[in-house]
Amino acid sequence: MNVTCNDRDRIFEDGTPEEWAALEAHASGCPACAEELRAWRTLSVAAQELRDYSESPALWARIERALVEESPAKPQPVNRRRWFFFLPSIPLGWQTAVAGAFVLVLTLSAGWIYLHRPIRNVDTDKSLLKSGALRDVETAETAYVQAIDKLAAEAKPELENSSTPLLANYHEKLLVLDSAIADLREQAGMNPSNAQLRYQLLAMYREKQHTLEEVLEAKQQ
Amino acid sequence: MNCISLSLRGGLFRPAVTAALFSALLLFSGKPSLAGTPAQEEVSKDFQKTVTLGAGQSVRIENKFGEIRLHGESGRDVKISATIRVQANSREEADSFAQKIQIEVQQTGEGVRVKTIYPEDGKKWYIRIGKNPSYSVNYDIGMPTDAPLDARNSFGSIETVGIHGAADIENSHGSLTVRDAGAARLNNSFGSIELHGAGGNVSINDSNGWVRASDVKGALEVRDRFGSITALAIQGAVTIVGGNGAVTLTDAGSGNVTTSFASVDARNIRGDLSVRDNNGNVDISSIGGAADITDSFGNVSFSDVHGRVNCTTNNGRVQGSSVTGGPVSIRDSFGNIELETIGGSVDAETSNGTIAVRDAHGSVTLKTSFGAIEASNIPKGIRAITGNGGITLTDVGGDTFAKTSFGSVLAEKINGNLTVENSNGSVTAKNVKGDTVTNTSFAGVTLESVGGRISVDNQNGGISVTAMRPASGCKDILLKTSFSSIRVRVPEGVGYNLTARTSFGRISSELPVTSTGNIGGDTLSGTIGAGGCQLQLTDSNGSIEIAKAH
Repeated sequence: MNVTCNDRDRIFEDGTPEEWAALEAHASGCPACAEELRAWRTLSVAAQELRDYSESPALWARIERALVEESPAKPQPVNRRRWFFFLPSIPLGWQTAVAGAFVLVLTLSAGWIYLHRPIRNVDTDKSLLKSGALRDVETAETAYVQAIDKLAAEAKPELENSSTPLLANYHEKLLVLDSAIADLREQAGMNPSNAQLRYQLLAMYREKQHTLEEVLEAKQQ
Repeated sequence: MNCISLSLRGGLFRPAVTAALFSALLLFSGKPSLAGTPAQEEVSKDFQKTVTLGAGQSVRIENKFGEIRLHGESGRDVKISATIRVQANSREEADSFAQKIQIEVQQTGEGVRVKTIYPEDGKKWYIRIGKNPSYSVNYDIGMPTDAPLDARNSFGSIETVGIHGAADIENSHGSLTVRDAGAARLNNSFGSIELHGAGGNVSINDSNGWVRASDVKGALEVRDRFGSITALAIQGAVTIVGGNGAVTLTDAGSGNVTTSFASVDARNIRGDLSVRDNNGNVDISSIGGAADITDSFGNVSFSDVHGRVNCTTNNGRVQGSSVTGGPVSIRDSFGNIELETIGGSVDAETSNGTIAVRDAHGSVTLKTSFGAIEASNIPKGIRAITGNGGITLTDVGGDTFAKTSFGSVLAEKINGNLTVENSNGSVTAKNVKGDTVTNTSFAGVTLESVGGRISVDNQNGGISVTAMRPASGCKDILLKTSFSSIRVRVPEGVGYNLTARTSFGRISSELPVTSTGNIGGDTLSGTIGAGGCQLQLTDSNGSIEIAKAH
């Protein structure tokens, strides 16, 4: 029978005795196939051992010998438990005092943490703005004020003349809005994080901006 | 000491010591990081109180810087629940400020009075380092359903549910929401008002915020200076005074709307509707009674009105349709008028605008200057007057009068008499059953299938007339022009007394003319057939042609 290296995988899988013999004969003259054949056999033996659950007579002897050899190098596990046994030698009064102090410190710490817990843990109420939200609102207010200043400068000539009833109406509305904005700003200065005040102030700014835009649209028309 | 040295060497106390040290570190390491606000502490304080309300007694609450929620409950208790929140630079300061905020609950003969008292009077008199404390007080109050309510709030919202006693609520800088109420007076400034469900009359006043009211059993009155107004499902009369905000009124007993610089949209009004607007469009439909509309600088549209319509507007288009009950009167300037399917009479006038009317079942009078007039299907006759505009009239059942200058007139299917006064414009009329009288100049007159008497006085324009066989009696034909031709077609078998005169023109007749007396080159007198009807044709500098009508 003539076999080559190309046949070895098939023979490893389900080769006949004749094929195995032919492969071994080929491996004797082919180093590559010889190495493959050796590796396969090693793997097969290991696999068989994995399935072999019977006790090896030499196993426990080897384990015992290894334990004896390692024993001076590592501390005995029993020594780790030895320090627990000093407790009976400490007077009960000291034990109680130390435990009590420990509990006291823990209680004080827990109490302090509870009382000084972060704001977000107070509740989910939105009546007062947290610092981040307040910063956002103030940033938005600044942007509105800048936009309004520009628009107001553009609309100023029309509003001062108020030549039509429509412009007179816008002029009146802007005066009303300015009055509301002044009131809200004063209150927000005294109650800076009150969410209602800040959002209402934003709403007034938004409406003033919108009104000024309408004035400019009316001017264009 | 032995114990301690043992513990340190051993390990039993190592966790305890570590925990203790950690705890001590926590204890003395300063303030914790608070949600990104290293310098702000917040405290909240709850307030609870229940008092009993006597019969007929009311609840009054005054607050600011927070919301008020009120809800009706069975029983006579007023259950007051409030939350005071303060944010300050330190917890001690927040605590201190919170303690100074007082909630005052007083019981008097009139009822229960709840008031928030802030410690704000003194703080203006010192200079503080750092941010002022921030604070709010929110209320949640349960109260007897039938108890009257008087609520005042500012810089916060108010919400009431299920309070059927008379409510007087005033708010500013926040929203006002009322559900399932009785009679109510609601005031707000710089905030919206929303009302849903009221058993009695409601008065709403807002200065700068939208208003929405729905499902009101009584009358509704709304005043809002700068904000939109919406009213839905109002059983009683509705009075709205707005400005600078759109008005929407739907399903109401009657309506009276005054606004400016905004549109008005009203529909499904069972009674009369009156709308006064400036600088806004008006759109109304399904009105059970009469509609009075005054507007300027806005378009007006109305449809499905069962009563009369009076509309006065400036600088806006008027469109109307399906007015089944009463007459329609329109006064406009600088705007077009379009009317369709009008059951009663129409009196429409505009300047500098066109008028178009279709299917008007009453008498129709249309006037404009500098605009065309177009009308069709007018059973009871029409008067159409314009200057500098054409007139087109079709399917008119009664007498028709058309007057214009510098525009053409076209009249078709006129069952009554037709009178046209024109200058500098052509006149064309077809299928006129009644008499026709036409005056014009500098343009042609063409009359076809005219059953009645025909009289045309033209200057410098041709005349072409086709007379029908008269249904009864004798129908004269009198045609006069100059510097143009006359062509007349008369039906065979009808007798005419012919007088035809022209100068510098030719007279010809397709029908036999029996002439008596003098026959000159520019005059023809005689009879056609048996004679009887007058056929007077007068021209100068134009030919005259008499032909058979087919």
